[in-house]
Amino acid sequence: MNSQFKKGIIEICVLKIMESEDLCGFDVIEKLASAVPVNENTIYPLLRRLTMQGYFETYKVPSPVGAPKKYYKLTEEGKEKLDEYLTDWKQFITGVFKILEGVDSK
Amino acid sequence: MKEKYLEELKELLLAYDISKDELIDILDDYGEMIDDALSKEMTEEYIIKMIGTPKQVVKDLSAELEKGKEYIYIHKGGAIRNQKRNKITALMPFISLVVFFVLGFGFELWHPGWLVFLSIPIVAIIVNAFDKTTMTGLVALSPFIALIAYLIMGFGYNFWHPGWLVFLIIPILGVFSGYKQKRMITLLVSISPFLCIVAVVLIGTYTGMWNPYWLLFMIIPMLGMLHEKKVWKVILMELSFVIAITAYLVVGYTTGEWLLGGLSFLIPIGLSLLLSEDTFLVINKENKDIWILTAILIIVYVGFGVLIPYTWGFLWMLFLLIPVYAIIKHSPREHNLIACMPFISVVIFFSLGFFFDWWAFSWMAFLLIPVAAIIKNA
Repeated sequence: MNSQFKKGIIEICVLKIMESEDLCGFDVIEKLASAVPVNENTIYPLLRRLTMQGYFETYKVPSPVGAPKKYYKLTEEGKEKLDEYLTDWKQFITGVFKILEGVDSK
Repeated sequence: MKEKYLEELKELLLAYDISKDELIDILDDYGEMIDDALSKEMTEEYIIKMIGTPKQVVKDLSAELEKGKEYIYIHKGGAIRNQKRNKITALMPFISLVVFFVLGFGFELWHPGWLVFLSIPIVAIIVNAFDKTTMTGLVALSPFIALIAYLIMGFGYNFWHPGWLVFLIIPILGVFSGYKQKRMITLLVSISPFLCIVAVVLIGTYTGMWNPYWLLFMIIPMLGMLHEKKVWKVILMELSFVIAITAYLVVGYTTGEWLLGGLSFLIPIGLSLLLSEDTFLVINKENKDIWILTAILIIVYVGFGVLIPYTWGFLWMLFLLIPVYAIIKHSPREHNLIACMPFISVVIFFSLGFFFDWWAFSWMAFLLIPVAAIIKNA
């Protein structure tokens, strides 16, 4: 699969995963890697960029073992972006399936 | 594994124009992820698979952040602005050489015309280091400022000793740069050893009265004691120093038995052992080795100086071991040679001049500075 295309999808997945719960960096990597074939080491840089773009905010939670853990939380801006991506994605994938089904039926 | 990984990652990130806060944030994040993985008893191999090798991380971070203009990470060797800087830096050896020959052939100024070669590292530092903060630039420039001041004092006024004291501006500036948010007293304690060395050496050199002026070194623990939170401890310790100093002077001046008077210092030593937790002299795990090294060097320098007065003139070079040790301890390994080269050059230059009277040739030792930098970056 085209890497840029894949990157875009992964971005939607990261935003979606964080919609329901706040997660720390390693949890995001684990969760995504267990569901999608992805190059795990690209997830943190993506997470960092999305945070810089204001789609996530971070906060620290004291850990019983070691240093406090950083958690990522989807912001309102992030939620809007996710909705926008999902709408685009649904339109796109519907069109793709239409074509594929049409090709298949021939 | 964690320390090694983070150290390597830091090294690689330092090659980019990245703020200190962001660097720390990234390292903290990776440290945290490694801790998480280790707590889940994952193998080292698996952890690396999950978070990537430091090289992959830096590659992915820079690739990811190059997309949005405002988040660009620029490799120090990659940006147009940096290319201009590199051009200026690369041109300096040729400009220096031309100026050197013009001064030499045209005006017979081979010496001190060779000083133009110092412009190579100086220009490199000015165009690169001042980009971060003024203090960073000053700290980076300080070995050269000190060196030029030292050479002017030496060649111009034959002030080699105690002119070498000017090299102490290097650690002093270093201390100032690292203590922005620290208490004033911490700053004073940190610079007090250097100021005391300057004061004692100047007084000793010009009055010959090393004793009792070495007592100025007592300022260091007396200031250090002010870190103590319990007021009664501070008063008790400060009093013990005053009593010890007074007793030392009284015994010394009345009987001439200075060594006997020195026993009075067993009072603050004993008291500090009784009261100490970990704040006395602000020695901690981090700086313990520097303190030990400084103490050994002071003892060696003063000891040899008192026993063999001839050694005052050259054993001061031992103190250059302090910044060299600090560089080796704190700087990335690949920068060690370049960072230490000004000090190595000073030792070679001064030793050849002092012991063999080869001042006319020994200046060439300073060419080692740009040569080392060029070889390293080639």
